Amino acid sequence: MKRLQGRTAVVTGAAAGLGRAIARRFAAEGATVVACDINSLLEPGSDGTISTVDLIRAEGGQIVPVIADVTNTADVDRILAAALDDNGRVDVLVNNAGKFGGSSLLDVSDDEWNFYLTLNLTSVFRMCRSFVAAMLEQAEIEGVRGRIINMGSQLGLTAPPGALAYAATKAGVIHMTRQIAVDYARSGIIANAIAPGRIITGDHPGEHEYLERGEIDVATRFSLARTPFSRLGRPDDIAGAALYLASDDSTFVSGAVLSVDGGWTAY
Amino acid sequence: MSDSFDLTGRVAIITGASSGIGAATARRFAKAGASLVLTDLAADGHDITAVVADVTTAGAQVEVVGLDVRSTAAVNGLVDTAIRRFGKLDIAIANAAIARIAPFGEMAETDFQNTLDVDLTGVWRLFRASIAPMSAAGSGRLLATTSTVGTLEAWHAHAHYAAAKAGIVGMVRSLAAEVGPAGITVNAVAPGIIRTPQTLDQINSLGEDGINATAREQPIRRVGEPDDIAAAYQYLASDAGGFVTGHMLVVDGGRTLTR
Repeated sequence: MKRLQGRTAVVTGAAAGLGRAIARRFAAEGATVVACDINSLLEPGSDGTISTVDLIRAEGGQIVPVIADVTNTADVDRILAAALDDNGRVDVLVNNAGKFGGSSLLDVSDDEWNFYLTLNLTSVFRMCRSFVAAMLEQAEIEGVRGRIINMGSQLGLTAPPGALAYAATKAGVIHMTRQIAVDYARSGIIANAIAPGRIITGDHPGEHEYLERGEIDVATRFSLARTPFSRLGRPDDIAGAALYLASDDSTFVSGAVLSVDGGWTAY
Repeated sequence: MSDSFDLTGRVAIITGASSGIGAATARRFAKAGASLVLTDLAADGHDITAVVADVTTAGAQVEVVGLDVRSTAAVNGLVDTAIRRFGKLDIAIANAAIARIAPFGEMAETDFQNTLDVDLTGVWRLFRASIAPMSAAGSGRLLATTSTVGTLEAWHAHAHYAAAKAGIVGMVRSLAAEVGPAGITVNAVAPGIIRTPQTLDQINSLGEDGINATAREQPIRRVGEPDDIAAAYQYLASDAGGFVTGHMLVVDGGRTLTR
């Protein structure tokens, strides 16, 4: 049984990490995946072997690559057009593109603040605005016209030190998701957020060394100490959560924040 | 490729399986390939026969144990039954609960204690009994049915129920931290208004009219069905939910967001 057979799903930030895992899982579950990223979608993936596009095609999945920058409004229109061009509707939007980093208040320049706000929050707002408008024009399937899945973070719920602008954007994403859920539920739109904990993608400093040789740097040590579960997260853990929220199994879940963090926020 | 939420070969205990959420979860888990140990309480008046017939038709092996979750010995025996029959225990769902209306000033101590004994201590009993075999296996899923009541909203004349359901969430968080290193996840599902026999109870809950009013008022234009909660349990019990722990998954149609 494929859970997304015949559905069209847009995944931003699909070249690597969480987005790549989500795109791969959705394609394996029968969706046509409109995969977006700024430039590296066709290049070798984070595992060093194969691009997201080649990977999904090799596995027999349907993928429509769109090289696009979600901070560019013209590109947002292009992503939507590509999605609708597939079969005239778009069932799922996963706003995953974003960047982690930053510093504490007194070290945050206007440029840093604006960078994170634009990429992590304003782009999600624009994507949601364009896609919800399009979703409202399409027929319901199982009572749902369209689904929004926004990538929050445990840093939008808790406040480990030193990522002021990033944390503010993720808290913003989480609450914007709730507001969309309430405002458009009656029109058949479902909106939920995922709050990942420490997921080892191999793309951040020190992660490659941890995965390959078990070397534990300061950041990884902190994550291990804060994560009660017996391992840190994998991109596929987030793909599983995204699949649940994209599937007909969750048509009564809206405005939820699904923490996938090995117990970090509970601990 | 196999189903992402497949449960083939898993052994699951589900308490309160003769009606509502427990029955729907049993049916869904059977279709997903799990072997089941189901509990019912004859005094409740729900007949588990139809559930057993459905899960058997779906191809599941099933063992039914009549028990009251207020009995520690019975709950310990339940886990023993699962191990004896199926050789292991992968998933334990503490779902059995009661909701009896009782205005606070008129609430007898027995009312309070009885509700806590079933709704909170019953969860503790199943979780405690399940930890040893799950720890030995290095994996396991402990799941409990909490509620939006007590955790996110009030329910008039149900303070004992609210206290018990909020207590579940505190226990889930702390236990997640404690047994996480052993590879065990611990989560709660918080249903909103679900069309179950309990909610249809005109005296102790909303009744049909109240359910229909909720469907008109809440963001998503329907009340939940038991299978909405069963689906949440399937995700959390499957490999796809393996890094979720200490979490309360709210399945309420967005209702508590506006409160």
